[in-house]
Amino acid sequence: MRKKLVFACLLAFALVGAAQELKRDFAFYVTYPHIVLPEGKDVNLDVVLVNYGENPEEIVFEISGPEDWNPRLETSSYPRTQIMGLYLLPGEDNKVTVKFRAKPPDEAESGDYAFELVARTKDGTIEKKAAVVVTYEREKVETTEEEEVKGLTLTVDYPALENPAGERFEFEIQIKNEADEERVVELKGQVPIGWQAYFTPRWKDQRITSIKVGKNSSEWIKFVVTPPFGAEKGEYPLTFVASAGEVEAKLDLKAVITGTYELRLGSEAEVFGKGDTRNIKATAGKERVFKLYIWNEGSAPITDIDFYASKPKGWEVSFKPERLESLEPLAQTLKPEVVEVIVKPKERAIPGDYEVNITAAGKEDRESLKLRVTVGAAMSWGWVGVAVIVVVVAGLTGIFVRLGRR
Amino acid sequence: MTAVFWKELADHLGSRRFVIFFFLILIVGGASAYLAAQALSGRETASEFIYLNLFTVSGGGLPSFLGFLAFFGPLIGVVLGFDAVNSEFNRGTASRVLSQPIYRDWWINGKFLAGFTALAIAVASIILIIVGLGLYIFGFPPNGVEISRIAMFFVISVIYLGFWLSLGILFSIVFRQTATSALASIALWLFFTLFLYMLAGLIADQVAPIKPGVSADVFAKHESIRDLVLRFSPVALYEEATTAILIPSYRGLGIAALLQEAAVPTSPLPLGQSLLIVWPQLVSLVALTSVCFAISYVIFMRREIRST
Repeated sequence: MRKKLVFACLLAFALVGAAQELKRDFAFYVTYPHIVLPEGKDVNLDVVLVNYGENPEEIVFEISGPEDWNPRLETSSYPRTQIMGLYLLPGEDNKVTVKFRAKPPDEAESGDYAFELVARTKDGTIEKKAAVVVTYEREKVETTEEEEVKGLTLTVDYPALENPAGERFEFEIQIKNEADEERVVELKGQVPIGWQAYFTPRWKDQRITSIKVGKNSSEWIKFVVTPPFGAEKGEYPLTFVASAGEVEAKLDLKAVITGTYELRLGSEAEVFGKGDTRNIKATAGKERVFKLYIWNEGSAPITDIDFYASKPKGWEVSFKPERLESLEPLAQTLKPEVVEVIVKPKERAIPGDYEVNITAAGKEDRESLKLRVTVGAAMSWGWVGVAVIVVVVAGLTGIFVRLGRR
Repeated sequence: MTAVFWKELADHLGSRRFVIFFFLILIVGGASAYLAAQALSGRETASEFIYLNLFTVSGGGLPSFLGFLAFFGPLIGVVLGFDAVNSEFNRGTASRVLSQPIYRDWWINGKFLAGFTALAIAVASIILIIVGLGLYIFGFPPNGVEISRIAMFFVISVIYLGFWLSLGILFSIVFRQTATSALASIALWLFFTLFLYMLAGLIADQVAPIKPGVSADVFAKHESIRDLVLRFSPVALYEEATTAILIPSYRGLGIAALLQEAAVPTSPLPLGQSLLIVWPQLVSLVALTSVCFAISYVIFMRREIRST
């Protein structure tokens, strides 16, 4: 029985050994045996090795082909190192992919270049060959320029912006360079007369006139436009032009200015530097004319301006004219309107400081001005008072002196 | 009688103490009125009776003119009266004057009238100076209501000072020594201007003590008792009367009026109504003056006067 078992084992070993002798094979191939290589690119191909045999095999490589292309085999994983041979474990699960790389020399002409890769086991029993043909295409100068023509694309997310007058407009524009080379793009803006335009990078304040865009990549820039002071409300077309060499791309933009309304009030001294300040003198019961200057610092006319005054009890404050139909912006009128404010303190106003608050209220804006009115005593009655005091004192003194001397 | 009157008037107006007291009141009163005008300056909400405010508003730490007159005015009256009769006896001039062919009551009447006139002249000139100051500061004249109320204030003030004058004359008849009559007058003045105010609060506290949690009735009782005691004082009577005259919206005295003031809009009353409110006070003042004069008259007329 035991003998039988030993024999069976021996038989099995023998069978295995026979199989080992029989099965000894590996595959060696290039996935893309013929490639077209444009200028500026390197050959980079996958080379696959699979051991179909039962035993591990040590493989040695040989490469033949144009030497100045520096053909070589490298590991497919980093760090890339050139390999002259490899150890191949059996089984399809253990297939190894290596890279075939070659770099065309600068002077290489267009045409087909053939490489032959040879892989053989160390003992030389099995040898496999794989051929690679590289069709090198050197780019012609003329053709590349034609391609560049379509190489610039401009995109903007918000082509129309709306702002009140005096604010600047900022357009964020993406410049895409579709060419295969880095380019410097010149930036230009076409704006209405009097407007100012400049460019900055998206996240910086530095003003620029050109920007470098890498090949097949894009850059964001900001197109900043400042309307002139007093620009009227309306829509203004703007054009952004990007050019690189002879390539030019245009982008139509729109700036919409809305009107602003800023009513301002001032005294004569504030406008002309002399005359009445906001602190005026008046006499009880007498009319006092105060010139109120009113202007519009906005960009659109203010309409229906009425005047009100909050004043001490018993006072009279009137305006001439009582209302203004419309007030054009100061940028157009160039001088403020004059409104006469007639302040009349009440007859029996105690001398002192009073506050009169003048409000101009238009449909679009309102503004108020605090007027300090110093009421002085009417001098005619003041003299009467002095006279009364003098007479009384003189009379008393006379009596005291005359009677006291007796 | 006119001869006595003129001679006495000349004596009063020429005397140094009258001049000193007059200028004291003039300066202090004028200063307080001026400060009142300063305090009123630029005030929109000041009442429409601005000239009346000159007398009642206090400013710059000084009390109002009204307060000064109520407090120091009595001194002028007393100064004019305290030695009217006894100094003449002491100097021996009384028998000489009375030996002249005049009625005996002319002498005492003349003294009273002269004192009154001197007081009237003093008060009138102080008020006139204050009004002149107002004219100079304000620049507009007082209106009719203000003038009539100031005139009323003048009359009441003269009656009030006249009371102190007659009190002084009464003491000068009762006491032989001028120092005694002066001290008695000043003691009474101090009693009425200072102590009675303290006493009034004290009595009210005793009769109707205010403790935490007492009802409003007790408060009212406390106040009314205090007022009742105070009204024995001519100073308090004068202050109440002139307050009603000089503050036209003043509606009355006591806690009830104070409470009402918050609820009722305080529009000014006509002069007649203001007078009605303080009629009792006015009558009391006049009565006090008359009683003092009557007593001194009777005592003087019955006195035996000998030449010594």
